[in-house]
Amino acid sequence: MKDIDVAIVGGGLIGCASAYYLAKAGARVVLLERGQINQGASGQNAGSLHFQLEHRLIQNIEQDARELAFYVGLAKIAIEQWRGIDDELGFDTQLSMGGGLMVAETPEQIELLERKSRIEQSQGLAVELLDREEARRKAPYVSECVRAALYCASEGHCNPRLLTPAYACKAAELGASIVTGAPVNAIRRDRDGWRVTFRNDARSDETIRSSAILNASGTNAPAVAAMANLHLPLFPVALTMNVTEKAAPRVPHLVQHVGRKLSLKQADDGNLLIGGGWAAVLRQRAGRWSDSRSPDLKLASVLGNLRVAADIVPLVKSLRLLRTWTGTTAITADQLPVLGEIAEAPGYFAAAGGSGFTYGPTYARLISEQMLTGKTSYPIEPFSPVRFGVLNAFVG
Amino acid sequence: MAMVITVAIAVATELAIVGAGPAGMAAAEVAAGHGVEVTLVDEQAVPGGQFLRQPPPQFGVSDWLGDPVYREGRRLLERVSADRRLEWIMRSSVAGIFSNGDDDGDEPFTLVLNPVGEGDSGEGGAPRQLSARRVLIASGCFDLPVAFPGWTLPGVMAAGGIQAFVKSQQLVPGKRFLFAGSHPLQLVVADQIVQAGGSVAGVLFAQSSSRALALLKHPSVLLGNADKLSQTAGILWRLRRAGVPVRFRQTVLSANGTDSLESVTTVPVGPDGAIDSDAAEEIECDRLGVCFAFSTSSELARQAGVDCRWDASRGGWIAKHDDNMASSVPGVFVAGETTGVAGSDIAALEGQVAAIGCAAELGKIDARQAVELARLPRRQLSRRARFARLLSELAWPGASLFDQLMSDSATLCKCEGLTVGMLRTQLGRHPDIRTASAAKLLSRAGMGLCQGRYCHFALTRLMARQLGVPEERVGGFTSRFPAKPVSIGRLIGDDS
Ligand SMILES: Cc1cc2nc3c(=O)[nH]c(=O)nc-3n(C[C@H](O)[C@H](O)[C@H](O)COP(=O)(O)OP(=O)(O)OC[C@H]3O[C@@H](n4cnc5c(N)ncnc54)[C@H](O)[C@@H]3O)c2cc1C
Ligand SMILES: Cc1cc2nc3c(=O)[nH]c(=O)nc-3n(C[C@H](O)[C@H](O)[C@H](O)COP(=O)(O)OP(=O)(O)OC[C@H]3O[C@@H](n4cnc5c(N)ncnc54)[C@H](O)[C@@H]3O)c2cc1C
Repeated sequence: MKDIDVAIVGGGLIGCASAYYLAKAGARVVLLERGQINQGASGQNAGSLHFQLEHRLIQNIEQDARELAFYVGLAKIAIEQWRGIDDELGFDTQLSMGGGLMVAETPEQIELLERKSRIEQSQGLAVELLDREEARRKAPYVSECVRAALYCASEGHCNPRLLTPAYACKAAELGASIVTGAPVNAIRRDRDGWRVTFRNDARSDETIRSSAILNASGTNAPAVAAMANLHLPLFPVALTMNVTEKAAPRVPHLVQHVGRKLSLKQADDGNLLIGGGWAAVLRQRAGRWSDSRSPDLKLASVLGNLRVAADIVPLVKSLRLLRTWTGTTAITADQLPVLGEIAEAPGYFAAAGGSGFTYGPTYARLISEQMLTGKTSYPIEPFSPVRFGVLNAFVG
Repeated sequence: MAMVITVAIAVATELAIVGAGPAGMAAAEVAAGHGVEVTLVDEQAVPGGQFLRQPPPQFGVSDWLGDPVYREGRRLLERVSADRRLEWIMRSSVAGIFSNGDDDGDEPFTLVLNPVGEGDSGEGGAPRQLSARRVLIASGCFDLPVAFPGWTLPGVMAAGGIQAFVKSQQLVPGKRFLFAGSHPLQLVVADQIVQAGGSVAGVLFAQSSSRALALLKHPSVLLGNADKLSQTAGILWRLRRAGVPVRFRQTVLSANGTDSLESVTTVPVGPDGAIDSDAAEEIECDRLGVCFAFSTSSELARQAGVDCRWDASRGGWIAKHDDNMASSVPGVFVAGETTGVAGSDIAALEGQVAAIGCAAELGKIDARQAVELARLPRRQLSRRARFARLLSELAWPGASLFDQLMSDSATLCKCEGLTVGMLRTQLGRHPDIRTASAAKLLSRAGMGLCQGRYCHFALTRLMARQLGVPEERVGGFTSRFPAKPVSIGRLIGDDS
């Protein structure tokens, strides 16, 4: 007899949402978070809901067409899930699905928009190519430089400050136990399950026995895999965010760029959030990257990001920059998420990577289905850790 | 008299000093004396810092800071102002200090400067970048904002803010003043108001008379100039002659008024530190000067990665340093209130020691000379610093007083319109939130224009108390670029 059904490692969006879906289905769940709920990427991100293919995904659009088509399919079910999220959580997460534009400034960029729109439309994702006039009519705040835009009516944003804590509260209401300040430091196989050891409040080690484990520890997922003698090839990338002072409501959309790094939106509070994948510098300790402190800010990234923002949305220039911050997120070499059971370690599941704010609720729902029933309502095989094949064939 | 130089977009220097108060000025003088190329940056129009706040040039104030207590500081100010070796960049706020990576090139630091007074005449131009081989952060302190019902009403001011008016313009802003706090500065300001012809309803100290008088015997330590021990007696005498009551074990419970301050409710503080709301009194006044303590301006140091520790009575987050005033970040030095609030004499001495450390690192003097040169200021420092620490503790009313003043209706975060009660409710709903940063993310407290300058102390106290942990465990808000808001158009050099 196990103490519990599932031990979740990590209190980000994926961990907290999984705790909710699992508890809702009646599973006995303990979530262990080393620090505070929402302290990782889930609380630091830009809050964009990108459903059209993002800038980072379409750099090799020809080779990747098949994977990308599959990814677009996921977007469709994510859209449905987002529409019901506030009702489900009984909480106003400041969700806005007022549409998103991906803009182009050059003929080459327009061509790229056309090509990607064909992949998206073939999968039934509604996108619409707007010419300059149509774009300016829909979004009068964009500059003359914008020559075309691909519009996706379901895109938008949600408040990262609120979503993960809302899931955590709801999970706790349903009986999940959420433990903060509890770093997991060892994971051992038991005969028919797992023993998970963490450091408790009294600074001593405590062990719980569970039938299954969900590794939802974000950038630390490779280390949490290593605790069970497993490999999980995820890599940390450090990103930069900028926020302006509050402004009167002017930008009701998510604005992205097909050829330059930009994401821009106006939060409910009035502040403009500006990001788009600009690099920061991971900290080092003893020759390895370390996540004990947030990455160092690069001045060139701030200036570069604000330059693109000002070119596309000129009103940015009249505002003051209030703050910048940096965060770290985990990606795989193929940029797709990791979602599934590690075949060589039955009962050890992982969920991480890839635009995890937009897709976090969906990853969580699908992985919960798999853990509970062995089946999922949308196929997740292409995201399975099985694709790393040989890596875990040598586990002892 | 201050030299506002117009410079190109990017300039370079050997030592960049942030803050031209006593610490920064003393450091500049010593460093220049050893051949270091120095650039001072300050957001004020003229040097001097808080202590020697100067009138703007258009006010021809005749007897500016005539009191002998300011004599030494004025001499320093006069010397550095006339010192042709120094470069000045005034009316520029340092928005960030960036380290240029591992390449130990010639100038490992870039300071991003932001001209203040945006929108006016154009004295600013684009924010400049200043690259430097060494940086000294001497960014001073500001009055500790204390949360109680009504503290955001117009008319409620920091005593230091009132003093700034008197010092720089000799204007008395208000008809009838009341002071409440625990720091001796409030007596000085009350006296300055009386001398300038204003009316003062009283000065309330939260401490017992014995504690306060022990403190007042040595006001000079916290208020500069150690040779002026007779000062307090003079102040107390003048206040008595003007009929201004100085009361002990009394403090402010709330500030009242519709659009602006009309009266203040005061309460006795018992020997156990508990306030007695049943014995409240009401005093009519249109200005309340609040003066409990000071808070270090640590955001720039923390943004640059300098390790700090928490010391409530000395200013909150204070920078750690070694004997040379070098911080935990190689190449970055700290001096003055940045290292703990201790008055202008100590600030100046720390500035001297830091300058010697910089000169040695820059190869202007050798290690033996450095030890030799630092001997005297170090000796003076250690003697005075010990004493100053003791007095800071006497001036500190104790955290429990602030806890009692912070009732649910008090505003906590002005920028985001959050009350103490709203924060308490949110924290109650999320018992897993245990750090200031997490509480900020949840509630938006500290996310506004002031970036937590005015609410971090109250929030830290509130959480420490609610969770039953020391403030250090609650942690500070993470400090990020820019230290103060900057115009994006200017930052990217495009304000068309
Ligand atoms: C600056 C930035 C902007 C982004 N913008 C967007 C965007 O606009 N849209 C979008 O869709 N995505 C965006 N992302 C990506 C998105 O934020 C992440 O993919 C997503 O939040 C990942 O969620 P998570 O739950 O996997 O990880 P996290 O939120 O990082 O959570 C992992 C948690 O695990 C905990 N943990 C780690 N090790 C242990 C251990 N040993 N024991 C216990 N707990 C442990 C950590 O403390 C952490 O809280 C952005 C990311 C960044 C950094
Ligand atoms: C309101 C007030 C009134 C005071 N009155 C007295 C008094 O009457 N007598 C007394 O002995 N002590 C007084 N003190 C204490 C006094 O400030 C210190 O003892 C002394 O001035 C400390 O010197 P300093 O050099 O550390 O800082 P300061 O004198 O405060 O100088 C710091 C300077 O740094 C500048 N600065 C800060 N941040 C930046 C930035 N990011 N970019 C550019 N410039 C920056 C500020 O404009 C300021 O000029 C007062 C303090 C305050 C806050």
